[in-house]
Amino acid sequence: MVAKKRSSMGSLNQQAVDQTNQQLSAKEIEVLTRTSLDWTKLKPKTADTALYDQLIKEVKESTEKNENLAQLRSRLESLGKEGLSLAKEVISLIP
Amino acid sequence: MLQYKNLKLLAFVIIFSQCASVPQSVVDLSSQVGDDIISIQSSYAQLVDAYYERLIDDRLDYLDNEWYPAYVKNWMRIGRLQEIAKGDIVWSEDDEKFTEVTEETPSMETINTLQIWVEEALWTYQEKKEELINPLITDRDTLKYSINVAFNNLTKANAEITAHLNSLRKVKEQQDQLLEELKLKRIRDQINEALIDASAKAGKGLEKVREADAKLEEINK
Repeated sequence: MVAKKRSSMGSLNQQAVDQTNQQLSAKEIEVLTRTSLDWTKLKPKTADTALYDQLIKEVKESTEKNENLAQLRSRLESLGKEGLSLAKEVISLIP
Repeated sequence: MLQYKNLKLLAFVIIFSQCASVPQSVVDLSSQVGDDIISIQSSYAQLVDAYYERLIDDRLDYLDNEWYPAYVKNWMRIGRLQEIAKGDIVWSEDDEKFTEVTEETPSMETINTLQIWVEEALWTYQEKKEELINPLITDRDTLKYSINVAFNNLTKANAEITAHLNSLRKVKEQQDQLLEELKLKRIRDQINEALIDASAKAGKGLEKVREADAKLEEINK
């Protein structure tokens, strides 16, 4: 288990770390270059979420209108006589 | 002859929806595309994970087999491990340096010094590991996030398209029922077929006009 609070021996240890980094600097650069990846090139070039949200909102509104229209008949039927007279009223509005 | 009332009802029915048909297979196809997008999203995420895991393994291989052995060698020398182990020196936290062991120095100090030495070595391994691996983990997570955002947008958009197609179909079914009751469905279908036929003929006519235009251009040259 690694100690939570480092000893003052840490500054001495840092010398060992620095020396190792210096000895292996060329090798480390080679490893880092070989194992690096420009992730931005893999990022999908798709439209902004804002544009999607806007279009989705418009489609949703249109869908809701269709759903209401599709339910019109059953709603009118469930209204019984009142529904029938309402339907007649709507039809009479058509010139 | 159609009665005036029926004509008005027909107009009402036509207002219900456009004449174009929406077969169930269109709704099914759109729904299937939605399911497949989710499946592709999962494959894409796994591919990104697998690729970054390979990069991480390569860096850990360098850490475990090259950097850390070299560091331990340096740390044994600079940290004077041999002298500590022999009981010749101990670490003094107050003076922040090694001190010679005297007869009064309790042997426990040697064990404490060895423990500090090992903890430093373990600490260093963890720090170097994070230095090498963390940038890859950050890149991987950022890339996965942007991929998920893109796929989620596609999934949401496709779900709305599926719902919309389904709603069109429902309206169409209602329209068909009403027309059936009015015995007018056949007339609507005939109108539709005539419109499709007219559209095809218009398309062929346009092709001929384009051909004629092309010939004229050649002659003018």
